[in-house]
Amino acid sequence: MKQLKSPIYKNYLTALAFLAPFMVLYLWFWIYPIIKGFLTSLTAGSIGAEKTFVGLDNYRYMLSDDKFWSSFWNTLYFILISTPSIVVVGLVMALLVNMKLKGTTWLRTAFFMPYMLSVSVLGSIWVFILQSRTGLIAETLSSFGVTMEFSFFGSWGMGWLSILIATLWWTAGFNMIMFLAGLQEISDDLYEAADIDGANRWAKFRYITMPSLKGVTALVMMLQTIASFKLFGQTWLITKGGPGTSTTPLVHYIYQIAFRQWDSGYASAVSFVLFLTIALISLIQFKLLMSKK
Amino acid sequence: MYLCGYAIALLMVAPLLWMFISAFKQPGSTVTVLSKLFSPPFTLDSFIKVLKPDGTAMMWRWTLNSVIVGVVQTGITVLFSSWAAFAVSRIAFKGKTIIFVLILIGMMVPVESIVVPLFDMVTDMGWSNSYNALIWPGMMLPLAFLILKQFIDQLPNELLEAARIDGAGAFLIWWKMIWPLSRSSMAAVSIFIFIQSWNNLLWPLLVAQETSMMTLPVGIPTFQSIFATDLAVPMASNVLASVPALLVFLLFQRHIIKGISMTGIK
Amino acid sequence: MKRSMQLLVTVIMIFSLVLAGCSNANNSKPSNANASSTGSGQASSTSGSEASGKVIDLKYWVPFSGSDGEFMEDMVKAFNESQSEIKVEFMNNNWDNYYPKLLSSLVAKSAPDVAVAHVSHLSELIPTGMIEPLDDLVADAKLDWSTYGKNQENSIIRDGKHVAIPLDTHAVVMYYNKKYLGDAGLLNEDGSIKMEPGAEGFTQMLKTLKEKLPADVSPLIIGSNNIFTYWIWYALVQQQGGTYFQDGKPTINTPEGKKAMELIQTWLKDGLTLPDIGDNSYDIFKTSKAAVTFTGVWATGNFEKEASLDFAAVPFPQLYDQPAAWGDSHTLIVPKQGNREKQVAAVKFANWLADHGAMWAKAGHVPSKPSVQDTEEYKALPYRSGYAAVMNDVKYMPDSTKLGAVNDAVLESLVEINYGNKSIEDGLKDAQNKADKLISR
Repeated sequence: MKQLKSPIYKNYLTALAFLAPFMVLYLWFWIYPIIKGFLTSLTAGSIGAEKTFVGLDNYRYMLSDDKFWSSFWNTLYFILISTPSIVVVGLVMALLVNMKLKGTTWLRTAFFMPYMLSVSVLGSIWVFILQSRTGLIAETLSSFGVTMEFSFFGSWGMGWLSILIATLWWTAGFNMIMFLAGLQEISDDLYEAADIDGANRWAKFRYITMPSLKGVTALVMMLQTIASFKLFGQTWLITKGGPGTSTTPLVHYIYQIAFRQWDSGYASAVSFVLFLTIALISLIQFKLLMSKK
Repeated sequence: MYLCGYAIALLMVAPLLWMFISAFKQPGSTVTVLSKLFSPPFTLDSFIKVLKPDGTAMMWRWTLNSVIVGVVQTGITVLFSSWAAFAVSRIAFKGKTIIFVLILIGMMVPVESIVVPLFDMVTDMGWSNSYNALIWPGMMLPLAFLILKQFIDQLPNELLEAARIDGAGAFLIWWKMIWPLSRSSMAAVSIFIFIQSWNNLLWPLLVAQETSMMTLPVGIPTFQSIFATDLAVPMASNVLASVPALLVFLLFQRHIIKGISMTGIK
Repeated sequence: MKRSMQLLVTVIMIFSLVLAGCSNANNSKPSNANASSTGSGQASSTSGSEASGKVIDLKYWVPFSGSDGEFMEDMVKAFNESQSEIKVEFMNNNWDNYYPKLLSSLVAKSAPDVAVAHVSHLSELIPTGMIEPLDDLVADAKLDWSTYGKNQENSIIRDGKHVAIPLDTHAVVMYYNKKYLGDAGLLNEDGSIKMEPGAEGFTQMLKTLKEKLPADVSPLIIGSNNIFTYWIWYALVQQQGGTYFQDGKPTINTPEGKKAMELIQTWLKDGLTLPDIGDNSYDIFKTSKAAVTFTGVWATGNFEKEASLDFAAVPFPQLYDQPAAWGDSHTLIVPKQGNREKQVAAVKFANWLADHGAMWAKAGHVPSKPSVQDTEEYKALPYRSGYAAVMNDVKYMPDSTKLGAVNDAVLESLVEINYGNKSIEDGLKDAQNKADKLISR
């Protein structure tokens, strides 16, 4: 990091005064909970009972807990299916908007609008669209004489598809903006030079646009990976984690352990693993960004 | 290309349109059959049912709560972060690196991974069902700090130096230089934080047990349940919850989009 | 600079909002708020407060996210109008999230003044130490236990103390579409279903239905991804005399449990019920897209609102040796708090609700006071008498602090079996393991 600046004041007290409000909140509601969470993860005892120190028992239990692993794999699975689709859809939208067709503003507005909705609104709309027999898709199909017997989110394997569709619809606009910003940073000179060389559209896309968007794409993928680890609202609202445990991601499982099984020790242990995982990913992201700059 | 673009646009907008039309149907009526959906009667009954304050639904109150939490969280986060960023960027003091690293660590902590201890803390402090519980935990402080610090780092030193020679104290410099100069990045951060806060579900779900303290994302799902068959009423609540956000978006579209690309890319 | 002035003003406004928020918050905590909301510190001096006409406000939580919520709302209104001492503030909650919420409010000492709790969840709530035993309060509230059904009263006694006031009994029963069954020639003259006894007879009836029904109507419908699957499995196990818990240990992987799953599998394999409809079995029956459904009695109040639906409700069919059905009771609990006057008022309110069980029966539930079942008002209600008999067959779930967690785990495995992801043996073995683990923690 290049130091553009030099300090203009050398006063410990002034610095303290400026930092104090931020640091109080930050230490109180970010750093302390991490420590408290870790300490709780070393204890056992349900609601109303005295907490007892059990060492690493909760972590040991985690290793043998099928549901922990399944929720971990579920999360990875969602990353696997959501990241490429988010990239493709976001990129296609950005390209369409960037072509400066007539009515571009309308297109951009339409693409972005769902992102402004609350996740709860999103959940309820998609439940009503996708549910079996009485859902919008099922009824529309049946008016054409086709019976849709299954529910999208009630079916094994289809559960994640429903979450994916809803998530894509919701966040594609956000990712479009990222790509759009990337596209607009590409200098027009490059395209003009290519025109002189007689390159066709595809060649321009392949050799100019795509390489220039590498950084943005990496960023979008990182953000989506982290967002997948934090996934809760969509599954809680649409599939309720089911059928069985097939769409229960990590945060959803933490919620169940902490607030249905009232096992705060174990919930803290799983939370701590979630924290370590995301911290690791962020570190990798940080490294990548640093190496490029 | 046109066709493709507008086809996708239609796909994106269709669920929203459906939501709007359904909301104007009689409570309990069938809205999933297209022929029935587009045929009258259209009424405001579903809205009336949603807005009528009873023990179950308090749309007005939830909207107010969401606005209060969003505005206060955004205001505090941006203000405090701006001060802290100024200090770390422009004031020399011992332990600066420690503080900077400490905040970087925060960037890697998802709120989701600390909700369990946060919930215990809030319970122990007797904060359940209060604005305190909704507002203070989980503010996006590190993110705002980093973006604002990046901006302040880039300000030319001469500018601030000149002000200092004029005899301005640190606070005056912040107030006369940093605050007005970083307005655009603060607006960007504010928008980002406000949207996050507006959409937050997990935390308010845990701490807002009383109807009167719910925010919109927590309140809306209470309109639907697996045991009832009504789409018009939930849809009306969806519309009411979405209209302010959509209006804000349509009015400030350019700023919002700029804000997102700034916070995202940086 | 002008702009920044505006921003400053905004910031100041924000701060004042925060302060307002904080002070509001401190008032809204029920435990502290008692004094201020009733107007003065006199609240705890019981004498003379009735005469002085001071209104006691009660916060009341219920988990009736189905149509029964509306009936309860009507009852609260009627109660508030019937007298002027107590004013009940009604709050309905989503069933799915109710117990996490109620429990955390009890722990946080921010619980309502009175709340509905299922009998099956009482043992989950009691360890918080926040449930008030009622024996000291009932005299002041003029509640007489002998007016309640003996079984109902017994179900709420823990360690020799009454911990709740029973409101009703409810169970999973069978609803069928009379038009479809009539068309298929499966109705007797009295409107009951024509079928041979036992599991085979029932399955055969469904098969006949399948031949006669339009292609897009399913003979039987059960929520495939929610608690309904569990309730039906539980009933079938109980009908064979099987157990769910024995001596505090879960008994999931049993021959009875296996047999029950085999029967459900037969229905799925022969296309007699739909495998993956998700949650909305309720809608599907209501919109005449299924002929038979197993669901809770609380559906009655909702189904009868649908004019196009001609249905009947009968007890859960006896498919094995003995009649049994999954069932539970709604009770009212009174959380601990400093204000005794409120607690007495809460008991009065609960007793009033039980007294007016005929109103509550409109939602489909069976009243907890036998005398209510003899009233004209109750007898005049259609459908209810058709399944009132199921109340003798209800098998309550065992008492365990881990019941909710075990039920969740068992349900997950049952759903896995039904979706064909696990064999019955593996699925039940899994469920047993998970339940054992949960109990051991």
